[in-house]
Parts: sequence; C-alpha cells; structure tokens
Amino acid sequence: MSADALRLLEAELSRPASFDEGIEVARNACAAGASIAAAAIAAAAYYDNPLTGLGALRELMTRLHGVPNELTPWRQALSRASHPETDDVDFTPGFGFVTPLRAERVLVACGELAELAGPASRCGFMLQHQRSISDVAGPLNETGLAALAYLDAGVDVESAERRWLCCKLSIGVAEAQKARRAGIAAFPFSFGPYVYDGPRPAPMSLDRRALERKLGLDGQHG
Amino acid sequence: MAEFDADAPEIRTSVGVAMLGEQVVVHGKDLHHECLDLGFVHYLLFCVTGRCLDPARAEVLERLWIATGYPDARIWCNRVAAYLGSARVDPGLAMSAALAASNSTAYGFRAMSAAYAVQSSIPADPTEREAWLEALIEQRRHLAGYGRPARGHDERIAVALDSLDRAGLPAGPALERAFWLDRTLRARKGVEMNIAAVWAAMAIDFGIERRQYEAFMLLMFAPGYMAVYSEWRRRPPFEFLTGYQTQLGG
Repeated sequence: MSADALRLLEAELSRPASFDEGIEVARNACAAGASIAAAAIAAAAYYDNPLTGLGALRELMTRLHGVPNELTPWRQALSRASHPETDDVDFTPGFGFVTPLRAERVLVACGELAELAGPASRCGFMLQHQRSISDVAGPLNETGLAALAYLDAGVDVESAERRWLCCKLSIGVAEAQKARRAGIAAFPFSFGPYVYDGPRPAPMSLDRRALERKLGLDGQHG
Repeated sequence: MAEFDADAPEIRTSVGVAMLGEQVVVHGKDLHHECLDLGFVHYLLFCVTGRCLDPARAEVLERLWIATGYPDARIWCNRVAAYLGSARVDPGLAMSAALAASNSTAYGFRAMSAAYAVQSSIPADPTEREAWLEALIEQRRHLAGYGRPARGHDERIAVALDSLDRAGLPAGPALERAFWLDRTLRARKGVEMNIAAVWAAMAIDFGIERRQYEAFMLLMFAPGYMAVYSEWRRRPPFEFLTGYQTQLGG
C-alpha cells in the first residue's frame, strides 16, 4: 500500500503539468552547455526554498505529526502566520503559492492517494475537509500533498526530504538535458518583453578602432 | 573547536595558515598587515597564484571584472539567480547555482578556458601562425573567443583596451596575436573576436597560467547574479516569470 502510494506521488510530481519554476531553473542552468551537475545544484538550491521547498515539507510533516484527524487541531496546526525566516506574510507550509488550476489537480491527486491509503488517512481527511482547511491555510500545493502522502506512508521526515528532493532533481536534470540539447537558441537572449524602468544615463562610447591604433593592435605596426 | 588529534592525517601546505586569534599567513604574507591594500580582485589573484602584480595591471584586472557584471535577468545564469531570489533561496545557494550555470561551454567559464587554450596556442612566428590557422580552418575547428552568439560586436573589448590605455600599459604579445586573429577571421570568415579572447590574451601577457586563470576568474559575473537576485528577493515571492515553462519538445 505505502509503496503504491509513493509511486503514485512520484508519478504525480513527474507529470509535465506539475512542472514548477524549479524545473525551469534546472533547464536554464544547462542552457549554455553546462554539465547536468549544474542543473542538480541549481534545482537543489531552488527546492531548498523555504516557502514550497524542503523547509515547507519538513515543517508541515512536523506540524501534523501526532495531530489527530479532527478539524480543530488541523486548523490550529495550519493557521497562517509570517514566515519566521523570510518575513513573507500569510504562510502555511504546504499551502498557497499555487495557481487555481494546479490546486485543483493537487486535490484530484490527493483523492487518488486517499483511495490507496483509505479514508482515515491524512490525504483522505484533507480531501474531506479541504474547504474548511483551505479557509485557514490556503489551497494545498504539491509540497503539501507530498507531506501528507509521506505521513500516510509512515515515512520519517528525513527520509521524506531525501525522497522528495531526489524525485524533483531527477525530473529537473532530465529536463536540463533536453535544454542542453536544444542549446541557448531555445532561451533567446531577447527573452520576451524586458522593461528597464530605472534612470538611464546618456550613452557614452569608446572608439575601439582608435584604441586599437593607439595600442598598436591594428596590424599597422609590423 | 575539537582538541588536537595527533592521529589525524597531516595536511602539508605552502599556501597559508590561519592561527586563530593570532595571525593569518597567505603565501608568506601577513593577511591583516600586508594584504589589505591589494583590493579584492588582486587579493584573489594573489591567493590563486601566490604572486602580486604591479598596481597598473591589478587595476586593469579590477576594471575587467567590473565591466562584465551585467545586472540583466535575461542572461541565463542571472535568470537562475532571479528565480532563486524570487523563491527566497538563501543567497549562498543562489550564488552556487548561478556559478554552476556559468560553468558552461557556449558562454561562461568553460568557454573562457577554451579561449585561453586558443590564445596560448597561437604561434609567435608569423609564418607558423598562418600555417596554424590554415590547419584549424581546414579541420573546421571552432576557435573559442571568436564569434559571439549574441548579436553585434562585444562592447567590453573597447572597455578592456581603454583600461589598458588608462593604466599606461602597452599591448602585450599575446594581445597582439589575439587581434591578428581577429583581423584575419573577420577578413576571411566574417567572424569577430569576443571578450573571452581579450581576457585570455591579457591574462597570458600578465603571466597568469591557464589553471590559475580558471580559478581566478570565477567571481567576475557575481555582481550581475547578486543584483538580479536581490531585486527579485525584494519583490513578492515567486513573481519572476511565474508559470513560464520553456518549450523544448522531446
């Protein structure tokens, strides 16, 4: 049962529709031809972010560990507050920072995991009370889904961190290899509209040919 | 700190020692009394090579570094930093990621190292040089440091030459060869040099070896990474290119 649930979770995280900015970071890391080690480093850095990364996964698992499947303790555990490190307001680990479309998909996946883990599971409870819980915490995101699935599967926090990060890195590195094959042309320098709205000094130019002559680099000095 | 362990393996070095609370020695100099006036770029070079340059050459290197700190989030390695600032990733990890992304072959550190290899292989003798180039063209070899994937000529070249001129330094023989190759490739192939050729040639003229060059140049793009990181770190979370996915196909 647990193994099936973990496989289902990893399949969910691997769906292209689940790709987040961490995948894009990995692609960019290899866009100019760096080794996939660069993608792994960049993606690992992204997934260490405190809002939807490892910190959030750990924090949600820790908060819900030992909390009974009753609405009041869940709502207490998941109430929003300023993030203690980043000062971002209205933060609940595993919730928020997700588009409505992806939030919907996360709930569908939560339902699929609940079917495997049973109605008494964390995923089952979340699904059953998602309206009430999202009132206090915001919509469940993919990191939150993973935290609930790991709790249901009896995975400890350290193992969960490892599994989740390895899964994300594997997806990111595979996408980075595609990016490396596509090359920098797939990431054009003139990447869409770019608006600089700060002050701009008058452009000053240097006369390169005059400097080449002065330094004897113009081929006229033997 | 742990107690001294006589059974631990020995580390023998001539680079330096930090006798905490007492003195720090770097390549035989007292860090806190003999190195503080070097400037950061020069001190980094000293750490890598064990050698100090004269003030004029040190100033040229300082200016080369500043001249390439581009705070534009469209540049691929800066884009990595922007995403990470936006996601509130710690700056140390963001810097590591941007550096790793810069270790690339089209631009960045591996391209720079390849450009150094090209510059150091250009023969001094003009006849040999012609034959050397003919052979490379025949083999259709890419000459790193020439050709710029981005459009137009490289605006940093004039700045580098101006820095040399302001410092009252003449062009060295490697830089002369680099410009010979530029003229020849422009005439024959319509290919212009880029700044990597100039940096490598100047480094050769300043006596910096290839492995030293690779280790020394690493932080030169860091101002650009951190400018972009800091801007997106100040903005609401995940605002940088939210939801954008590059379409790469299979």
